Amino acid sequence: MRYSKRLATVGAVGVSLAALVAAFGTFAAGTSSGSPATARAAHSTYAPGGTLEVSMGSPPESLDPQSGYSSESQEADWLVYTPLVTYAHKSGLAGDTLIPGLATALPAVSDGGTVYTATLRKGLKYSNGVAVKASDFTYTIERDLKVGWGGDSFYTSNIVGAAAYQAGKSKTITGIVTNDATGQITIHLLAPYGAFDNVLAFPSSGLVPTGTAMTALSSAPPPGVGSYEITQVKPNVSFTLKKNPLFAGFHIPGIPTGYVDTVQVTIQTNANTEAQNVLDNTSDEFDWGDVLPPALVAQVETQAKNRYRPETLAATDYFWLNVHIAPFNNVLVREAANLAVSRVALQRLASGQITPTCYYLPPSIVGAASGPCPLGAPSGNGSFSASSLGSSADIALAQKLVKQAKLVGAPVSVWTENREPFESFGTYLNAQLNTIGLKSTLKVINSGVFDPTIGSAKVDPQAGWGEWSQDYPNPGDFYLVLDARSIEPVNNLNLGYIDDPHIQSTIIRLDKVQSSDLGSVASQWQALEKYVDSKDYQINFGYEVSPFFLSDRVDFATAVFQPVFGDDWSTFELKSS
Amino acid sequence: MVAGEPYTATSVTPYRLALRRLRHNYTALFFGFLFVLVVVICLLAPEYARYIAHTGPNDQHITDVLNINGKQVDVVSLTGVPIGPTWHSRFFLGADSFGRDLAVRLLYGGRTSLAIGAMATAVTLCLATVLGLASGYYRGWVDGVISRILDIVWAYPALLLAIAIGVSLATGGISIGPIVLNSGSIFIPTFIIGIVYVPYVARPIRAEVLALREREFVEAARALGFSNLKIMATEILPNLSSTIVVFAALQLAHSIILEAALSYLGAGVQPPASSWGTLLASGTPLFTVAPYLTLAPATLLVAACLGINIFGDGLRQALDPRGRVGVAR
Repeated sequence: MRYSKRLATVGAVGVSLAALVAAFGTFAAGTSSGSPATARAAHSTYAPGGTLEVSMGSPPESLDPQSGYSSESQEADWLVYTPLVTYAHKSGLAGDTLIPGLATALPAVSDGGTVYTATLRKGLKYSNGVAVKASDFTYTIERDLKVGWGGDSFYTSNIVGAAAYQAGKSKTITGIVTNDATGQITIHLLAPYGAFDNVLAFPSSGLVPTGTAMTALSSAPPPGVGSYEITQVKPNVSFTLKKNPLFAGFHIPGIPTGYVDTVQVTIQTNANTEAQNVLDNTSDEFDWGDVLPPALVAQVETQAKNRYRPETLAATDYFWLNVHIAPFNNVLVREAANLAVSRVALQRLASGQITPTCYYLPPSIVGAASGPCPLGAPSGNGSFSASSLGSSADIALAQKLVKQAKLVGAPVSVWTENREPFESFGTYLNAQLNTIGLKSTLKVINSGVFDPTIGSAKVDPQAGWGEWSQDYPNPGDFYLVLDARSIEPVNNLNLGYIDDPHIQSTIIRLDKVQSSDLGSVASQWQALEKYVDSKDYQINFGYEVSPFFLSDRVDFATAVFQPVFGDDWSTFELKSS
Repeated sequence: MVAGEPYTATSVTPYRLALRRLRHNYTALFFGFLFVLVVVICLLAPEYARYIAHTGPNDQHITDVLNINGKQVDVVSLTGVPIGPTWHSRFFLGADSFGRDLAVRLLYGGRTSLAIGAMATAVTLCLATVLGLASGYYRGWVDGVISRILDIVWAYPALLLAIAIGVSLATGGISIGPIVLNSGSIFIPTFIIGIVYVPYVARPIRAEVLALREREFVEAARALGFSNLKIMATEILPNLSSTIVVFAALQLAHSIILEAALSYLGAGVQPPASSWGTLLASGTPLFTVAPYLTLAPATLLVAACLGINIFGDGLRQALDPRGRVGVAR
């Protein structure tokens, strides 16, 4: 990986050599620290500059950082709006590490975990040349709440005065105190929240100038502090990231200044075309959020084996079961549904691009469980292999459980969206529920309105496909979908309407643990995983595997697949022409 | 009768004459037979599923393994590619990505497509005949209102209008008073297709009624004191029958094609139910590795539509009073 090589070089030759290289004018082309000379020798066919052609399967809902919540939005915004803290630009688990962004160091935590203090770096400017002030942070968070960022509850449920500000009861967020002269930012929390560092690392916490309009600027996103700036947005069609010439001058360690001059992102909803374009090198990147079409998997694995690798994501596919209405308010029916679902069958429907499981937390998250699945422990079952579930014996047992629950023929609607493989997942569950004796019908919804539809209490859906992809690498983030506090009349996250006192008390207790101390409570998270599995609250079936698939124009050896934000365009370098 | 045709004194009804003409149109008869053949094999779907394939249209066999000529073969591979034609009783034409028997789904899908086509055609013809009759016979404000309504429907391309209605009903279904159609009901695409084609049939019927109402036998019926309804039912409608019969055949082909298009685009038959359109849609992404998933439904769709279309054309020629009689050949 290029960035590691550069750090090693820094260690070897020291800061003076870096300064010398900078003086020769090549410094700004790569990362802001380290010597590009050594790396350049190793990869002499690649050079800074050029235009990276990126295909994106779904359009970002908004490129305004205080509006866009989807992974597509954050993938771009991460490089444009640097927050106080951010994630290392590294592949694998190393990418989960928090590093200082616009702050000089990671925030100091005091008063029992309720006060976070950070100081802004000196001399920072937005891409439009305006100086960054500490008070811009307050404005940025206020803008998150006014514009209506999808994850605004991360702020309102943690920061003192944020909820009051959002409700219009105060003119500012009283829990954030800033000093423009010193650059100090102090954040007061309502209660200790161990993952608050991660909240500060959202691109939505990336600073924008005070005075930026309090409306979603989706077509003309505001200036930020980052290696790139967003230009030429054609909603649902394309957008461009242009290198921010000011950023290299800030010398922020660990944050690359970017190689390519321009990142041209084009929306390509047809995954076949998208994959074929990357195979043919007419596009440089296959969207990591898409699934390689089954027809092309073998071709990609053979023809492009030196520029393709599957990356296991911190994301879980599952079927939620609404436990507050029949028939899934009956644990026997939930157990039956769990037994009837072959995780291996779903893996094949996903072209092999999920890893079968019955547990919820992905392996890269602290607290992930493994071993036999304790499904249906209350009924005396409770030991199954994730890879053999859905066998004829399991189906027979499932049918017996439905009969035992006296719910044969109970009507069920299975909801899914009209993108593959998710539609196939829903179709599969629908058939299996019919097989075990329920009367299931399938409802396939346009992907653009799927979440709002199933998240509405008026619809009150019974079962369907769900996916949780980490907002940040912390088990508490995953458990938002099992947290009773997430049950809302609109945009409901807890689609199973699960309100279990044991889960609640455990989440509340473990959420206080600082991210850096998560290892100390890993066994408690694991115990919670086993408990949730034994109650059959949902049908967890696969950890997502994402294609890291680039054209042969890109230096695959040094390109970073960042575990939180995906393809890290700032590390992509193109072949010199 | 065309000049030069041998004169025959035998008295024959127009329909008997048409039948004679049709019997000599071997092309039309061949394609008519082809259509009937497709209908018959689709009607035999349950028997094929039960006694030959031993699986239902929605039964999934994703993780099953087949023994073919001594080799163990996954019905669906680890990367999601389904097995191709085995030419055996099980998976004769191969499987889809859910491990469902393609031949079984093809036949069941054919039943759905043909049933929707037939019912939609009936809806179109009934509505178009009533509206065309009323519009052409009464003229005046009745004609004005009906024609403008038909113009509005006609202004939208049939496919776009059908997609718009189909998509809006695909999720929630429809409920009008006591009539409730859930989102998966085949009556939704049936009525959509039936309605969007009404102007295309009603317009020519209206034109024919406008001409017929001025004919002597209609004048005679009026002079005898027949009511308007009776005149329409007993004098005009019988004279429209050949037109309606020809439209029925041609409209059936159009309806089957529109159903396939709607289902292909997700606005018609809803999964997991199959139709030729849904089968085409599910096969398209796998075309390069499993072309049979697309070719099989496409072949039956073409056979059925070509069959009924060419037969319908032959029917039109046979019922044309200005056509060649051909009875002497």
